Amino acid sequence: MPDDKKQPQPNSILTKEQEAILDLYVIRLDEIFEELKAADKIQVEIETRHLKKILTK
Amino acid sequence: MSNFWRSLFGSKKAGNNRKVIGLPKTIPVNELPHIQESKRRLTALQQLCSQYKSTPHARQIEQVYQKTRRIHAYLTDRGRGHELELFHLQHTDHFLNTFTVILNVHLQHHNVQQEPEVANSRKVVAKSVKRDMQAGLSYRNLNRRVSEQVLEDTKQSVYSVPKLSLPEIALNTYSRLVYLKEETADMQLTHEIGYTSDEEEKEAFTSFVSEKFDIHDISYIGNTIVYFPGHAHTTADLVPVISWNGGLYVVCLEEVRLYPVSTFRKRD
Repeated sequence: MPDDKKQPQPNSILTKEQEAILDLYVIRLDEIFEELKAADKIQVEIETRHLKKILTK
Repeated sequence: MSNFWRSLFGSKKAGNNRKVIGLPKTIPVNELPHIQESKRRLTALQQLCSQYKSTPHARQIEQVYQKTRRIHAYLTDRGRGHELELFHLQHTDHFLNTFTVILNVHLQHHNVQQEPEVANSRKVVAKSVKRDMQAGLSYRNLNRRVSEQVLEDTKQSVYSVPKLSLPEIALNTYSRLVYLKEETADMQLTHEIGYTSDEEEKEAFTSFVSEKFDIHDISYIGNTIVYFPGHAHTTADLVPVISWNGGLYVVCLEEVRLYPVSTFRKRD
């Protein structure tokens, strides 16, 4: 990078809007992870019920 | 010899298709390219982190990297290469693109400013900021005096001064809503818009809104569910949210009105 050494860089690169988008993106990544885990939980639930049904038949 | 008999009676095939749960996972061959592509993206994210290191946003970009890596690990552990690829295509690629472009443009501007007199660059910047501030200051002083006057007037009247606030909305990321767009004088087509819409659909929507509201440089953020003030029916409406001029607005297409809103943001 050409100009790293001179400035302490208090200047923000992102605009307010871009900052908001960055925030949203971090939140979205959390949501995706939670959704993945939730989907797997449902899968487990389905499998369990399936087995239960077979056994109680 | 036993191999011969086995091949003769066809029993050699037994076991070929068996999958034993609990054994260390081997990744299916056809998913390998996905995994490699995904690793390449992770490396790119890491590079982005180091490029943003000296900015105030370093921590958040770092978070994006960590969280993306977490999803990557989760899906690769379970051998779900396709889902991983889909996730990257819909998210990481766009993110990488946007924030690389932002940084590049910023650096270019920076370099152009600095080239003429490197040594004095700091003074020049400081001076122009100062000039701006002085101009801004006098305006602000004037405005303040006026508002003090107005406040004094209102204090003497019976009205109370309303306090404005932006309602907080939560983006809905999975549902799409339909809007009508007039293609020609007497033909209307329905279009869909949602958080998961592709670039083309979002482009179509923003140009539709630009035209209808006569505002420019807007971008589509997502949908959200809200109650409108003064509407007779009490059901909430799913409506699009746009970003314009650095602020978020809920779009009421029927009334051609914008309502300023804010999204929930963690502050620390």
